[in-house]
Amino acid sequence: MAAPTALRTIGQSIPKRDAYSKATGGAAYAGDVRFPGTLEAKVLRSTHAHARILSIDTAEAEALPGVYAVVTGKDVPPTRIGRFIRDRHALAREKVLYFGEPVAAVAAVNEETAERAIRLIKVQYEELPAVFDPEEALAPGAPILHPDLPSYVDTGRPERSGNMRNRVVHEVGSVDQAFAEPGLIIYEATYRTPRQSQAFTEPHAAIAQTDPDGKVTVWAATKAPFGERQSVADTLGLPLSRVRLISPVVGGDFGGKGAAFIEPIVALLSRKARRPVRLTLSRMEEITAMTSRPSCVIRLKMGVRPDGSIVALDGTMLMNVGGVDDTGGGGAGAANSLIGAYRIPNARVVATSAYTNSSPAGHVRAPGGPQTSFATESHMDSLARLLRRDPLDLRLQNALRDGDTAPSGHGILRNVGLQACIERARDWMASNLGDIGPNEGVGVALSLWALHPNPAKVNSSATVRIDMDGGVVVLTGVTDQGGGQWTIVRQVAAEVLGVPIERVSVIAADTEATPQEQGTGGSQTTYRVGNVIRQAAEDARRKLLRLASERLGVDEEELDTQDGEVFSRSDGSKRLTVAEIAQTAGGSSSGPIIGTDAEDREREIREQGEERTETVDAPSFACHVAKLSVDPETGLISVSKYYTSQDVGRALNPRNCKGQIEGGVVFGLGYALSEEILSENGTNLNANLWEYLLPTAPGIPELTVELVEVPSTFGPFGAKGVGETPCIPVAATIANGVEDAIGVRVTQAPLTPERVLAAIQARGKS
Amino acid sequence: MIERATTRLHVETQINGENTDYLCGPEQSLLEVLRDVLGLTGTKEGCNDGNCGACSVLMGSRLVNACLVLGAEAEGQEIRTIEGLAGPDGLHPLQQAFLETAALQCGICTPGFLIAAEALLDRESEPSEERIRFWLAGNLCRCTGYDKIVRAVQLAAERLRQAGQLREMEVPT
Repeated sequence: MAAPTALRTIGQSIPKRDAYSKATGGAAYAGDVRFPGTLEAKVLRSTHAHARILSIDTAEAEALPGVYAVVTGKDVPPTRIGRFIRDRHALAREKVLYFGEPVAAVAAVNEETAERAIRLIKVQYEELPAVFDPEEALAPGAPILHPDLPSYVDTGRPERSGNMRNRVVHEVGSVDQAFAEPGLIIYEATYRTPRQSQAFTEPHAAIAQTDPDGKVTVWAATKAPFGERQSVADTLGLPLSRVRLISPVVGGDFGGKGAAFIEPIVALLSRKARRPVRLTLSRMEEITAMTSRPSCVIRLKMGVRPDGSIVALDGTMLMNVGGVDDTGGGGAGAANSLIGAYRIPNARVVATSAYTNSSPAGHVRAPGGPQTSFATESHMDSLARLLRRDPLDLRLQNALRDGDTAPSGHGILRNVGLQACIERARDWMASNLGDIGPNEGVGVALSLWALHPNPAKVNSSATVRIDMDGGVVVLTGVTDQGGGQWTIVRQVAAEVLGVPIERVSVIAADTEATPQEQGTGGSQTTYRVGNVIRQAAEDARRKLLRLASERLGVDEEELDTQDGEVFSRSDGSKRLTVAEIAQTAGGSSSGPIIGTDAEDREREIREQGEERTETVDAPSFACHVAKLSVDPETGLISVSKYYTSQDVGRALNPRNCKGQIEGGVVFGLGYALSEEILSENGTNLNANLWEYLLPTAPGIPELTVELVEVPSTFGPFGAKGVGETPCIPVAATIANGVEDAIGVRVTQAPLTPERVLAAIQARGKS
Repeated sequence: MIERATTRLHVETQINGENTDYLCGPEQSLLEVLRDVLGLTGTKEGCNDGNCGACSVLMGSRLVNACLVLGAEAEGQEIRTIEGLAGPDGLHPLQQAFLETAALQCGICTPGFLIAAEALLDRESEPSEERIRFWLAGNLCRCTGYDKIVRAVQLAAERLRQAGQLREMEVPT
């Protein structure tokens, strides 16, 4: 009887509870929330990339019948808002910094009237010199976008001045000395990566309602309701308690729905109009004026000994973060990811991001990852070619191992699953690649995504309560934008409490009901929030067992839970259902059963404090393989097979893990082959879904995903993060496959037919 | 002074088997009518210009993007939306297969995919994988990578074929 209970729900492919409502049309996204008397909003956007606003005349718009409110920068306080750096206003106040920046907004009875009103607003601009190239933006004499930049509130404390949004220098060893080593083979190249749209299918949408007493509630498509509440409160000059943000089901995020761009606008309009106001952005607004992955130029130099050991790396990254920046510094914080999955004793990376008058940069799945990986993993193949080595073999030789210093330079790596991923990939290649025909090739690349260095110290919290009928309710600020976050939350709570998964429900992402949460992203929800849920569930379990112990006359240590019952391990007849215990809890000295994460969290940080400074969980690693062919006449790449092995630590929900990985690979294929926001003088030219080319079903290769499980030390039940890793190395995998197929190296992503053809023709000339 | 609204059209149609009538502006799309006039928000808006397929609905046997069809065009038609896909006995085999194979993540594209796939299976009982992929080329999904969606359609097609064969066997000769 005393045998330890095996895991019941962890490791099971539990279907998502909301899948039913999503598949029947019943799921209500932010754009589906409706109230009687709701007004429609439209935003007037800047027609200049850089200009001073001389005047805004809204009289005619206000006089138009059916218009209830018009707001401009005059309605916005000087306090700036932003997710990481507070560098903008909800509506431009004195200057516009990019084409499409919100200048005014209207709420009217219907969209048509709002649109007409927008056209009646007269804005006088004084055009200012604009700069679009990040290198030019950093040069002396460039027009300065943010003269007050040093005074801005920023989450980090990076070097920043002029148009330099930030600069991060990551250095280990003695780089210059290392490159001077005699006999060292040195290879240098420059790589360019595009601006990529998150291209979630659900555009930004929000609806705001203002109570007669002035309290504002906003339902928004966001992954960070608490952060957005701050931006709305700052814009409206309200305390946090007077603003409520609710994130219903979110239709995809991929990094782009964490910052308040439209929410403060609908809130302002709703307050002024005294009616509910809603806004859904058009696809053109999404790609013209909302955030995208910053474009990046990477110069990379590596020194390798003839035996294949890489001893030195020197790299610079320059990112264009646009007029306002919704990244943590252009992903420059990811500077160390340019070192990749390798043990390189001497490395220096200087990552700089620059403000320009381009559209804003923001987070896109795995911020900083695909850019750096395209450079490093392309470079690794070029080194292998120089050394006449098998590309996987060279990677394996230099791969990070258990006991190595983490790429961040802080802590010793444990639980490295990289070697296992490479071995699995090799096995698959041996039996699945088939014949390689003319113009066909195989590309490989490694991927990594670092986990939170200390998942215990996080801006998250959870409450777990047990209802009188034995049902378990988890309150969490975490959103679910499709990754199955709420399912993992339920699985963790069900496992800890020993109740069937069906009995666990989630109340989530409502700033008035749920504990604070920093936001869903970075492949950290399972790893980080999963722990908080576990801790709160364990607290509830302790309270449950204490009550059961009193009623059964059995020591708490003797008790266990399973299938919704608490029972004595030594005497199976002594048992109570969770419902029976919960029913008496209210009248007991302990009160109703409510668990929080506070106690275990403190204890764990105390206990593991020393260990955590020494040990860090290895990143989530993966090995990718693509088989492809290149049409030498057109430059068109066709990928026939795509394989990835990924270390997920422990798959808490294997089917969802695989789903994340498949989706990530295809996201990466878009970045590799076709996705690129094209821009001219700050205006994005392909701001629609017929010229911004996303992957579609016919072009997708046969996908094979293998899960590798090297459990983590700190993640719940050994889990590591999953979602970012798979999209990171795809562009390099494809570029490496192209060189294998036709012998040309393409150093700019995406590898469009034009670029591949140009590379073929350039080779012909040389 | 209230400016007169533009002329409104009275449209009589059938939506998910029910006779329905509504007033709409001559410029209003069927998508706007479904979502804003009739409150059928299961049909989603992703781009409003016919490029994402999230608003796929059936107009008779025609698969259309509701954003590219006028509300007035529904006159006398039979419209089928995601809200009408499940039968009285439960989920449609396509919906069931999507749930079982985890062919949806954020779900915003799912109604469109289900309707598009239904249009295909209405026409063909045994579509090849290639046929399914090309048929669904007008529907964008950013989460799944499409593989599980294609598998779900294959699974549903197979089940529908089996059910069809069973029904044929039951028919007395």
